[in-house]
Amino acid sequence: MSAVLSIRNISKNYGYVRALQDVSFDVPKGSVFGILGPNGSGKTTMLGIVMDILKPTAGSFLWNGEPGSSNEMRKQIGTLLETPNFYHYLSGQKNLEIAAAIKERGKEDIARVLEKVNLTQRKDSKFSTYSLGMKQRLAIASTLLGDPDILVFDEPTNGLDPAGIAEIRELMKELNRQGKTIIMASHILDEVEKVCTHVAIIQKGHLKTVGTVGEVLNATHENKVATVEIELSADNLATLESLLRQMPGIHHVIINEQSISIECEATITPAAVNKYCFDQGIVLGQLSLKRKSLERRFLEITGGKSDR
Amino acid sequence: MIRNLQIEWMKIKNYRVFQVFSVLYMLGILVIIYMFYRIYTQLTGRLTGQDNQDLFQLFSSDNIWRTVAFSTGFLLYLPGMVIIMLFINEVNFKTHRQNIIDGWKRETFIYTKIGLIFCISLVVTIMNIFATLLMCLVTKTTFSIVDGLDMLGFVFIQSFVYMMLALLFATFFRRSGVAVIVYLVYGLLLEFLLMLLLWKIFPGAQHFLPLQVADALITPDLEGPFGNKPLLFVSLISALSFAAIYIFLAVRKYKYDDL
Repeated sequence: MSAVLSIRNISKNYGYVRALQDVSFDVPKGSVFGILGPNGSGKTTMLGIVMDILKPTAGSFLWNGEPGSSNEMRKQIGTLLETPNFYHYLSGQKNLEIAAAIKERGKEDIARVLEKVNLTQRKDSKFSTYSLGMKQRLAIASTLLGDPDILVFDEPTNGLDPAGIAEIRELMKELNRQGKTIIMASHILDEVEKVCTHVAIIQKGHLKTVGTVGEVLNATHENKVATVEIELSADNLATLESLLRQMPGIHHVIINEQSISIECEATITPAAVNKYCFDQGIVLGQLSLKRKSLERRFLEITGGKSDR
Repeated sequence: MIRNLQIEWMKIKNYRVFQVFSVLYMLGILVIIYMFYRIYTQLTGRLTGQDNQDLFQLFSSDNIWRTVAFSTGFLLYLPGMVIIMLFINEVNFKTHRQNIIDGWKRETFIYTKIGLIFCISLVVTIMNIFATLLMCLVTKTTFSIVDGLDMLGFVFIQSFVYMMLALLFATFFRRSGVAVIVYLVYGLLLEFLLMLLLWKIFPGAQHFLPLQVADALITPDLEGPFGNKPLLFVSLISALSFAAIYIFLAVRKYKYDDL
């Protein structure tokens, strides 16, 4: 699969602060590529560099094989970077007219994108009167002008209510079905897991891992063995717990209210656990393999702390 | 550039501060020259005992263009402040980033601002024509635009230099209040003090300061630090060179800085 964006050894220093250190990855065409990381990890810095509003200290990048970020290339990309950036004294409509003019698109697309984000009724209100959610939606509308094939979103659901978040999720899925490539930086791991096909995790400016969501979820972290999580229950949880702690290959046993969760080596299957318990005289009432969540994997990789 | 200026006009035409400053400036130009005329003729009238005396021929057909340009030049800080506010608004709203993200080159953004300064300088020049016409009607002096062509050119250069320096301050300071204060303090006070200093220690050099270099095209030859002006073509080349330096510095700053 060809790469829409190739990042090569990008570093960025702000004085003594090293915001990015030798980061390299490719964004495959047609993917929904999530960039994850704790606060201050360098996600927005990375996106700022590839959109030419920040200058890298070292490294380079290619958009569709072309070096750097030409203005013609940027006109073909819909971008929402960090915050909605509009003229506060102008209406939503007029702000989009300016964006459309810079992108060399006609005004005729404005009505469509406003409808897409449910802002048609407020299009003539000043931007300064918009709520945070409306501002975010206007920014998303701006990214959709001209129906670009590549979209870059930095925290696209910021400020949106649950209904808005669900709408944006469905919008991204729809855009991806149309063959568009989406690059998304986000903290909301649940949303990334639901939408993204690929993910890169950045911490303290370092790229920790990159790949498809499945590869990242199933990969081992450092020297640890791959693990799975199984949830099970029986009539006597205390006996079951005692038994499981003796089973080889079990790393952790977590007591829930009405069940027990075990983290064990990936070679141990639910069937093997069931057989072990049955052989020891315990009949299980519940047994299920839990898919490791991206959040869990993210916390494993980053150590569960925000960057300072 | 025309297209980019149209986009720039879309940005500013509904900006209330821009509208107010524009009206203030256009009215101010007419008011200031008329008030200068009234005060001047009353003062000279007291000296000579006759009303409406143009004792020093400031409003004669030979001098009226210079007199109007000199008087209205004091208001050039208004468009300068507007340029600072427009640029720093973009920084505050982060629309200067968004314009680049949407597809402008960094140079396009800053050159468009310079294009705006060019257009406002044209407006200033046209307002000078109207102000001179007004004063010709008041003083019953013959109005001849041909007589004023050279002075109109100097007015254009002077206003361009004033606004370019304002833009340069804006690119460096990026805070509206700081940039405006520095601009006004420099223009109204600091440069005059520098002129006095240079006049004493290096006579003649005082006409090559950032704003004075353009003022020298218009101010009459007077005594003191404003006297002994360089030859006109020297002043002209110097003013254009300073304008080019301001453009170079502003473009370079914007092209290579993080936004």
